[in-house]
Amino acid sequence: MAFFGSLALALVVFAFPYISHGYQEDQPLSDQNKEKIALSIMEKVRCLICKGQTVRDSEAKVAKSLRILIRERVDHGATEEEIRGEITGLYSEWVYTDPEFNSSTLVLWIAPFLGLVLILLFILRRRFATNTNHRI
Amino acid sequence: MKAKSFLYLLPLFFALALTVLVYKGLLLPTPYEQFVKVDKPIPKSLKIEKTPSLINVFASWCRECELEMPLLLGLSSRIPIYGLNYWDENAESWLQEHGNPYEKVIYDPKGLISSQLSVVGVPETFLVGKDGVIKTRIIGQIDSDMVDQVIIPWIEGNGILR
Repeated sequence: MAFFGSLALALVVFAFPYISHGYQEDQPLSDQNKEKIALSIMEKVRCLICKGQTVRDSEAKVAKSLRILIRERVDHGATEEEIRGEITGLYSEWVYTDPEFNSSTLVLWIAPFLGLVLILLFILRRRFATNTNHRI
Repeated sequence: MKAKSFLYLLPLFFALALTVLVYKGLLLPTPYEQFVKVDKPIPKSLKIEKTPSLINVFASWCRECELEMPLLLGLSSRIPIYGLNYWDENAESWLQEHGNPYEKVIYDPKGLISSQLSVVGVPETFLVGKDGVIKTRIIGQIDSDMVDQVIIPWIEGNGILR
């Protein structure tokens, strides 16, 4: 009995690499190095309809499709840059959790800091006004 | 100018900055912003023979797709509509039940073709010009106002009254 069990297991293990396109079923790539690369890309791409999640951990269909796309591109030897170019071309720079720093995204990067400065200014003004008993 | 009035201008600055970001496609449209300018040719993976035409991304599990079906059926007599069937296995029976407005159904069980159109869900409708260039993307369910005020004028503007 155990013999047949291990035989079955052996067959499955040996057959697995020959099952083509496991990534079509959202399965990991059989090449572990490639899968590592694919996963690292997935972690940097936002799931567009599920706030806060990445393509790696979302169950949304758009995320699944992107997982399949990323794995397929990695499997066929595309570079991270090429894949990033394709995905940002389709879904804009915003889809990456680390948008590039260039003239277009400069405002995107600076805005939070400016917002912080604004809030600080506002708080400081109020404190200053209270201390000197001036009416604002 | 006093420092105080400068402070009042900052919200305006942010509003302008946000506008620039949206225009440059750096901010994705919110659910309330339905019309997106595209100006990209049809991806090769789609075999669209007739232009101008519409591409409607749909699925049998999509309630809004069911709701917009009467409008699509009405439009289908005026312009060819290609159905892009998204993550679905039951399109045929669903179309038999609800009506079939499509010139042709293109099956996209893993959403790979749809992702080439930047699709994020269903329904979405694309207006494809005579030159095979996708002009506009409509995210979400279309309603009769949209049909009367946007889609039909666009069809007529493209000179194809059927």
